Amino acid sequence: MKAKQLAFVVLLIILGLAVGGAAGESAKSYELIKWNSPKPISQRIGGPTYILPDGWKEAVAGVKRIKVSNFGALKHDPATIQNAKKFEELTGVKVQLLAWAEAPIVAKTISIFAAKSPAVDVFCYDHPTTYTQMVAGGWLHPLDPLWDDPEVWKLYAEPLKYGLRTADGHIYGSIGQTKTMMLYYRPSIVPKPPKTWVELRDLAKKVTTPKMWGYVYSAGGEMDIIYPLRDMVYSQGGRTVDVKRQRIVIDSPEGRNAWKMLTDMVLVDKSAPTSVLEYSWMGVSDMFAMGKATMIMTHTVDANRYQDPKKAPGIKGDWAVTSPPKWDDTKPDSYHASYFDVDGLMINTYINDKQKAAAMLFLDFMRSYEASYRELIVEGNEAAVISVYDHPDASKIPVPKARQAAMKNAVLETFPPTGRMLTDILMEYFANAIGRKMAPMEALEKCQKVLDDYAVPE
Amino acid sequence: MRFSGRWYGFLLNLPGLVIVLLWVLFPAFLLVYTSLLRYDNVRPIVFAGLGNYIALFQHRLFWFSLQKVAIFCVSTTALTLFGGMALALSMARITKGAWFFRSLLILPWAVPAVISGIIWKWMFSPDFGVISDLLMKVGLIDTPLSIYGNFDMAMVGIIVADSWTRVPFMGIILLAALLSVSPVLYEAAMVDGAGALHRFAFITLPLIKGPAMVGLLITTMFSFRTIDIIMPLTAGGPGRATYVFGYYIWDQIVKTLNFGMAAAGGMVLFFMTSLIAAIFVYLSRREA
Repeated sequence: MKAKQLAFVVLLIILGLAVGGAAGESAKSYELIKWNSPKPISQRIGGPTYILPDGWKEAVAGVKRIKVSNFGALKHDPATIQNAKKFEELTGVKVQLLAWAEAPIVAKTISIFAAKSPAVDVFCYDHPTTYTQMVAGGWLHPLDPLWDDPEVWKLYAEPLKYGLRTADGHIYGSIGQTKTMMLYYRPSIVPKPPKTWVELRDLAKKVTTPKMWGYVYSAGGEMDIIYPLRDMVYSQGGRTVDVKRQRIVIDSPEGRNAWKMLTDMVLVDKSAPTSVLEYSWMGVSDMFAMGKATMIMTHTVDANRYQDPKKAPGIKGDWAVTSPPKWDDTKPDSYHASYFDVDGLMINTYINDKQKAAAMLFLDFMRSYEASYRELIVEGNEAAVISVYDHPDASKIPVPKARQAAMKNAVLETFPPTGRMLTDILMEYFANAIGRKMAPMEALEKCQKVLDDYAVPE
Repeated sequence: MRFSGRWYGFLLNLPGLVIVLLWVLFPAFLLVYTSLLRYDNVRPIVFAGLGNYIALFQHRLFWFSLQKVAIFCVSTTALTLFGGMALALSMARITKGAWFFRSLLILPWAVPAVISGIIWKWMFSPDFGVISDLLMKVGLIDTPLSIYGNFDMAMVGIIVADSWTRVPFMGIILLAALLSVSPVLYEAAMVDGAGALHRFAFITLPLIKGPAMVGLLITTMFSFRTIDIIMPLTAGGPGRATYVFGYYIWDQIVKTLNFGMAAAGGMVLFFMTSLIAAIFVYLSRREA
């Protein structure tokens, strides 16, 4: 009897291994999707109406819902909600958007990855500072098939092609929203906006009063000092990341100019407040809306806020927007550049294959012309697909051509791993300069040394 | 089948044992184990022995953050003790409507620390904060006051904000202790001519020392590892002026993604809070 029972168990084990082996060899669900069919990717996603790829039904059969994290409250993201609804109409897969406050979003994401949890299918992330770290952690599902059409890159601004591909040659991220920064100013005080940073600095000195600063920028929140630094570095044609050595570089000639100008505005010109050390990028936007700043650089989406007198009581419609300044008159017009911000989407490698298929389909939709249209027209973000700006409806948004040009000129740099810690070091030493704990250029040199020490070993 | 007393007791304790294993011992074991790994989410995970601890002790921000947390902890605990004592002494004298005032006392403690931090940040904002505005209106300052953007004032600001949330807890403990002191002792002391200060020093303090030590211990341990109120206020800035040790560990996890170093930092934090607890227990037992 015992021998028979043993033989039965052995047989079961062999059968189980055979079935499991067979299952392992069959195509994974997401491999059933033919991304270049019925049309090449660029045509499928690049037209006014998104076209689902062949094979999607079999790939996502049985998937009822995907969970997608979102930066902040959903009431500020009407386009995201509409896009999610549209995706559900097309595929029957519900998109459950998880509104996560910005401050703990990275901590939540890392917790889920560290636990190897399938709790969330798709994560939003800040591309410049977080992407390479997430890739290095081995937590992301590769997305190469989504980009397997050489023509697809022509839909987007140039930097995206190089920004998404990582050191191992693969792509792990896709586009959620894109933004750049532009110069907002008060026409009643500054009838003609400055075209260069040098001009802006002089103008800021002249217009500063006890009740209103000439220029305000962020140096207080997590990562926020990197915005004004990058803008000024790019306006000179410089870069903040040494791609070859995977290092942040701030003591370049362009970095030194930027650092000096920003510190001089506070310490010498007194056209910017010392309380820049308390401001995040949202705080800067608040300062302009309260009528306490004549000029700021902020995201284009803030135009929606300033149009509403209730949300911007201090300016009451007295605002205008123009392209980011270039450094000075010797620089070409293509240096009217700010940073290319990608709020990306990435797929959790720990979810099952069917969920991955549905998640990939969602990412495919979110980077399409149709989704970009909603981002631009409904929400006021920028359009990842550049041709959306040529749509007649684009004339309804403030300065569409200037924004299109700003997106074309914008620079996308991806920080090396530990990017968020590196921006903290920049914040630390910049604060030391503003707080007069160190001379500004001494602070910059020490900052660079610490950045070099922190960098990931080669 | 009949259980013996021993086995019956064991079975009844089993759920608690499972909870202790799952929520205390297993995570503690994982913490120790992770602290011995090179787990930086960039290179392969390998056993590193004491490598993380050595790197920790050599890190430029390790001793710096310990210094900051020592200042923060001592100051917060002291302010909490004095504030709690003042409140408890006042509340002890209230008879009519005592329930109402005691409910008010609890409110700061009920507010989540992050919300509390946001409220304090708004109040102290140089641009739209009420405190800066009031001080300017009464002529005490000429220019807006920037607390959380000021190197020298930021630590004071977070101490005040954190103490505000802890005073109710201390106040409740001390109030309970005060109310347990027999009024006969005070009456006898007054008959003997003891003034208020004498009565406080020689009757009140000795008799509430035990509960006060418990309150101090808990306050010290919690403030030693606090970061939740610091995050919205200063994010450890400006220029690391409020960069306490808990923040250093947080950054290892969230910004550097170096779980090995973070675990090593966690072990150091565990030993230091245990040391604090051991000191308090020793002092309490010595008194007893």
